[in-house]
Amino acid sequence: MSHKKITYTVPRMGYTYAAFESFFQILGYDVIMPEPTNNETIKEGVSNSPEYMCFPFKILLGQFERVLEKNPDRYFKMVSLESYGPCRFGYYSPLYYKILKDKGFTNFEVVNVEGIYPPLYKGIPRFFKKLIKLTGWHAPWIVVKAFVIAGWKVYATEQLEKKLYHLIPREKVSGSTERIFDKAIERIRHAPNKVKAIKKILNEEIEKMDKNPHVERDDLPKVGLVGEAYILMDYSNNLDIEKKLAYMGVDVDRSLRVTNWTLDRLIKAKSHKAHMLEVNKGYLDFFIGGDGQESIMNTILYKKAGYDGVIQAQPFGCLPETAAKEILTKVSEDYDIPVLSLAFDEQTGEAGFVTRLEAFVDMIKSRRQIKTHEEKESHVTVKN
Amino acid sequence: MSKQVALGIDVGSVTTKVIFVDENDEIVEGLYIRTKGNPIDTIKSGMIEAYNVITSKFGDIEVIAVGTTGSGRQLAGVVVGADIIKNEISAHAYAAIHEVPDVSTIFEIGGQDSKIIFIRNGAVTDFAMNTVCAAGTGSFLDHQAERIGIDIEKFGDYSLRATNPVRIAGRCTVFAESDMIHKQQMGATPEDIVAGLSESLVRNYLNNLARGKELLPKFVFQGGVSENIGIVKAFENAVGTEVIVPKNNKLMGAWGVAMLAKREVEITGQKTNFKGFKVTELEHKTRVFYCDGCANNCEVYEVIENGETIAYWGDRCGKWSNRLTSKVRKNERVDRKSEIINSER
Repeated sequence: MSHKKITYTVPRMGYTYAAFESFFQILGYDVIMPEPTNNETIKEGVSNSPEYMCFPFKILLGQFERVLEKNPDRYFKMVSLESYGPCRFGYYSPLYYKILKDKGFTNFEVVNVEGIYPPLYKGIPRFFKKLIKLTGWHAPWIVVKAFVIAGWKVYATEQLEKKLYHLIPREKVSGSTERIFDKAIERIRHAPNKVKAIKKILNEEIEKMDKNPHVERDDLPKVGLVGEAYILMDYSNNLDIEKKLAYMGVDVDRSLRVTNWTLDRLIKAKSHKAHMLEVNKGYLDFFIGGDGQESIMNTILYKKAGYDGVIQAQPFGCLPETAAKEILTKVSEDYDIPVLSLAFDEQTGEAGFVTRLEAFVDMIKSRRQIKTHEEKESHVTVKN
Repeated sequence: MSKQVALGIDVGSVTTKVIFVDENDEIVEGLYIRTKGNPIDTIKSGMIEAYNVITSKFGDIEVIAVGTTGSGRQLAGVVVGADIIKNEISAHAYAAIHEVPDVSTIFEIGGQDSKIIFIRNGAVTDFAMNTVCAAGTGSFLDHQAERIGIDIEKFGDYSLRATNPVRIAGRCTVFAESDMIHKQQMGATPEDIVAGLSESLVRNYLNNLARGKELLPKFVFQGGVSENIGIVKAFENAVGTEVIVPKNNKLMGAWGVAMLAKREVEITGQKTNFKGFKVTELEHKTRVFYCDGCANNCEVYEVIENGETIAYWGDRCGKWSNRLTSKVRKNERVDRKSEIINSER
């Protein structure tokens, strides 16, 4: 088994897939990325999953299945993220294994990545054991290099994304920034595995995007996105919600990114939890799995940062997010911030989705107008 | 001088509404027809019919603005050349506020979706729309009326005659139906069943959409289902006060978007994009195909007018939609963006 040439396949996470790809390439493996979520992968995933399973599971199963189908002569290691706790996320990898075995695939194994869990004297050895199972035996400096390069690529991608969504509502020719961005992402993907080179490309591309004619303004309505990580972070799962909002003339910000998600889960877990408890006090004081707690925290933080509205993107039937949704109704009332909950699954029609987004944007615009009107009036009364 | 009117088209899932409004924002002619699977043909026949009626009333007319809304708004907008393509929530709210200026809560139940819109000080502050379930919308009532064997128009009268409304599970259409069958077999009268159905529909609507929200008067109830007096009564029982059904209850979406289109044209000062009534004579075709340019496999929709493609949509990368007359579209989009910027200032 160990003599077989191993190919890795990793869940796509929006535009950051290039980073995961380079991670395994530096370790000397072949990588085949699954295709982005499309009708075919969803069909495969849905028809082979239990009906009430989470939508991200169905998506990933479909993607992995397509990879296995297309490359029958390779041996795959499928990388799956895993978490402990009350949510079904913890069952993903055994379920992949069982379902794909039942479908008759033999050329794969599932490896999973976990964070470091307390108590530390058990958690750290467990983490390294998993890591070695994931990457195989390598010189430590190569693993470190792979981490650093992948980290930089993720960082660069996210910087470009932020710039893109900042510029779309401000650009003079609609769609021009996106074209530069697409090329930039390709360049980052094929960048040589050196930090210097990635930095250089990033700076060049940011500069290029900045030079694209646009009107800088800070009076746009602001919308924050919260919700389940995988739906939120991968543009092909959430029907490009960020881009759609940006083209509607909204300053959009996503609360979960690969960098802060990994940092909060793996490295800064303790301080992150303490912060979350403090912000969520009175709403949700305990871990409910997935990103439910984060959704509530980020909604409150968005309000405090002066955002006009929050959209919660959740896979249909996701337990933590459904719980969070009910609590968000209360948060929305107490903090006076509109929250729109959108559930995604294989039945989601784009038409209804766009209608809700448009109406939401119209609504926050009219709320803004009322607010500025009231401010003006109160100003007048103060003067008198 | 020919009469100046604005045209509003609301292409819903079940019905299509075509209306004309005059300079005082009053509806001078309104048409309410079933969409029947082919929206383009329905729009065209509706336009011809409405045009004939209005010209016989006022003689020559001049269309100064066109707006489209409803689930088929994109398609309708491209076919007729709309000045504004607006989502139905904004359009409905605009018309309701125009009709009842101090409205606070709007119930809207259409063919396949139901929404609740909250208004404070004449602006939308919150809304909810049914997400994954169509229980209690027009289509469901249609179907049940057919099943019991009564006319949908008489549905309301039946429930008013009821003496003891039975309790029907309204959470899901399928269960509601089996519950109804069960109650029928137990010997309940059609009147009681219809009344029970209306009540369960309202209960379900308020549970799903208005959960945890504050319901303040005045209430306005519009959309196709508001024709049904039984549902109106059930709503009044549930909220405990009067529920206003505006006089153009079925045409509110089209009315709202027609007024919005007029405003849009006034703000921009441009001539309308309306292609004229000659569009009804042109041949329109639609086509769906899967783009195989990349792994996204987008479902791309193409609208063909007299053999010439006039619109693409559904592609994520813009490969198709940018292809046609990209210059014109680009200019339009640039203009639109600067309009938005101007209108906000």
